[in-house]
Amino acid sequence: MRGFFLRRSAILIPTVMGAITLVFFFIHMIPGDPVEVMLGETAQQADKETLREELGLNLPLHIQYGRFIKGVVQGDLGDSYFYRRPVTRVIAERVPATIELALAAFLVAGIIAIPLGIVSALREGTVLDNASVLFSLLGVSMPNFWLGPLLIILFSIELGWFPVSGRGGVGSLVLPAITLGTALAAILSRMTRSSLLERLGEDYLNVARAKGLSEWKVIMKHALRNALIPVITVMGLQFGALLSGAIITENVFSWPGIGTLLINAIEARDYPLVQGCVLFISLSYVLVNLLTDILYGWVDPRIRFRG
Amino acid sequence: MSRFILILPLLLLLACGPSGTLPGKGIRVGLDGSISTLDPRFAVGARASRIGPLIYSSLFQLDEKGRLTPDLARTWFQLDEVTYLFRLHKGVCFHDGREVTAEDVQATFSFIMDPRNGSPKRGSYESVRRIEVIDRYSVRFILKEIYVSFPYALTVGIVPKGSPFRRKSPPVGSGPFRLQVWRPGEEVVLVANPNYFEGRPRLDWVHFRILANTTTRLLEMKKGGIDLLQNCVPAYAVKFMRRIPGVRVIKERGITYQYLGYNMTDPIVGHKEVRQAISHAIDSDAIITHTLKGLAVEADGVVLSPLNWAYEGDVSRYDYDPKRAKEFLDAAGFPDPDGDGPCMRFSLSFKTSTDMESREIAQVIKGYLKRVGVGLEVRSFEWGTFFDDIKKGNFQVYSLRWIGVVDPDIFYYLFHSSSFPPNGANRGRYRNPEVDRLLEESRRSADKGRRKRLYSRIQKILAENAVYTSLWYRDNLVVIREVFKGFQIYAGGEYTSLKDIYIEGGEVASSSRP
Repeated sequence: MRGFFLRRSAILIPTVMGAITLVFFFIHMIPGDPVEVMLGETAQQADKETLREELGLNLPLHIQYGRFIKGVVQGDLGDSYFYRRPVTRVIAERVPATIELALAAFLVAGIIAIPLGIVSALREGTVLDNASVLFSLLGVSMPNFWLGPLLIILFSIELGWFPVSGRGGVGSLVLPAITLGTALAAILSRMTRSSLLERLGEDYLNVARAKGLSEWKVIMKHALRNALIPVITVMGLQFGALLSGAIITENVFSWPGIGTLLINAIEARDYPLVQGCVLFISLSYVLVNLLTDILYGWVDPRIRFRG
Repeated sequence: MSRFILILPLLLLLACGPSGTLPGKGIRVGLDGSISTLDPRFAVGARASRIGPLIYSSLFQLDEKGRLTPDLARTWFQLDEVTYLFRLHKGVCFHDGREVTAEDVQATFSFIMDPRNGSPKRGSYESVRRIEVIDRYSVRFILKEIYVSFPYALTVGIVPKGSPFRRKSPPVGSGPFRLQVWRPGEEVVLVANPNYFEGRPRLDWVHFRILANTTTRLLEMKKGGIDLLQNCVPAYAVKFMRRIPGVRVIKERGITYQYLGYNMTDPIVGHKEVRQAISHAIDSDAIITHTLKGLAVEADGVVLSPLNWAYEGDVSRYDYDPKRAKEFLDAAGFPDPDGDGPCMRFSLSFKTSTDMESREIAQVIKGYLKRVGVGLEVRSFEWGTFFDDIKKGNFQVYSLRWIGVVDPDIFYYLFHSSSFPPNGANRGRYRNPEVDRLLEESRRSADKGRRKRLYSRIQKILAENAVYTSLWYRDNLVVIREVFKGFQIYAGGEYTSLKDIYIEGGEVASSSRP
């Protein structure tokens, strides 16, 4: 297990460094001047030059990169140009909202997808299975910018159950979580179904039945556990995406997460904040994937980590 | 499987974001984007500038017509061409209880002028030689040279002397409301200042909510989650807003000027006749009626709106006249190769932002130009890229707007040959020695009548040369719940009148924050 961790950590560092390096050079390549965004078009040229110098933007790019990497190693990501505050603090303020929404969406997806996938597999070819296919098609086809307002109209405006937007209390989390979780639920329910169908034909299930286990136990303990391994892989990858890719959902529900922060940072050419957000996102991805690998062992005890 | 449920308590633990109820009566205002800073010494964004007068008092404020009116200045005198004396109201206090004095005024402006502080507003005070405190309530500004527009630079909010620099919480002000909460990207909560020198506001609080998504803003208005939207309702949604019970839609003439800009160094649009032809080819009136749903007024001036004292309406006009447009193009040496056939005289690149309305308008303009044999390739870019191209002169034709123009000295910044970016906003690289001379003269002239004549001449020359194609002045549009009375639309979109509004009958839809 220790060896496994060490090996994965050795991969983790270059992966994250690669991501932030690419973003560092890309963000500096796109047109737009952060100094002008900060000072406004009307500012004096001398003031712009002074600020450019102060921020180190007048230095050659490789020196700026060296400084940036040194800062990352020391845990200092610099100050946000737009908010004029340390990047780490700006991001830290958004992280709870991001994790909250990602977890909630994940939970929604899990609650819908796994039972639906099981029912669909066990009732293959029936009306229930067809209904599940329809749900999956709808789920992946409905864009969040459309589904979000639709849910708002139904549950906030017409029924008055939940607030339209903003973050505050469990009620405000429901609609964004459903919006974000629906597409994932659609994918996961199909995966659960097909993976479970494959397992249902295995001989070991007949052995389990022959031992006198109830059908429920056969399915839940023997078939489903094995069937969930590919599902967990996808869930792990998707959770990383949920942490970073909820931009549209965050925008629709005015949810103060990392996605909108990153978009605003790109628009404002706020280099340190963009880099900080990307660092957070890439770290989230690799850590969630590491966690996914550990979950394999939990779901299927046959899988062991070797150093 | 049951272990999956373990996530639930964690989720519930996390789901305890900000919430609360504001006491008393207040108003919830929807904003369409974030505010980077509220510190008046640094705030250059439109949203912060519009909220600023609620928190900070200044020597002058802009009134609903965009005119300068004294605020903290009880009286003021221009002692000579370069000296201004201000006497402050006595007994005005900052939100922390300290009295506002001449030293605070001096400190605020000295801070901005100090290059070490990196204020984006420093350029407006280049002409200031020194600021002298005469006594506790009197302050004198001495300029290096005549700069008649200087009073416009005195609308910056005054903060206490020694206020810290670049902090999350901006310094206190002495305005009608005190800043209570500011969550960047989420909300700004202001509470009434009971000691405001012009009397306590009638509302207890103002809650600004950042709602970047247009549909969400509209649905929040319908649900009753917000009470006021100003200039952030698209034209297509006005009908929807009017149908909401208890909501009033108000529109008033605004000063936001929409135009087409040209690159004067371009071999095609560098021709005056081509620009004149394009101006004649576009039916602005039809665009206003159909695309903007009547929420604009056709522009008959250049940059300045008829509300401005220096506005000149008697300039060359370019009414919709495709026949005339074709004549101009022929005269410019661009005959139509196949009459009404598919071949174009020439093709232009038209740059615009990714804003939905701007793209839609660009497509309409493309249709109009096609009728006179001019091809238009519409290219929409993300804002930063688009604006960078415009400043670098990397364009043929673009469309943008000027917002909140009150000082006619802006012409210097837009059309003087020394104002090419990055020194100004003469993005089209327009060069005209006569305009340069007139602009320089207008800056030095203290006689308002003479300045008006100079600006009239400037506007006539600009219109005659079709430096810009004037499209329209956008109306200010406000959607507000009917229970709120006394709201006044300001030409520049400031929220200043929130200090005077009140709730009729004491009823309000809701006073709780999300």
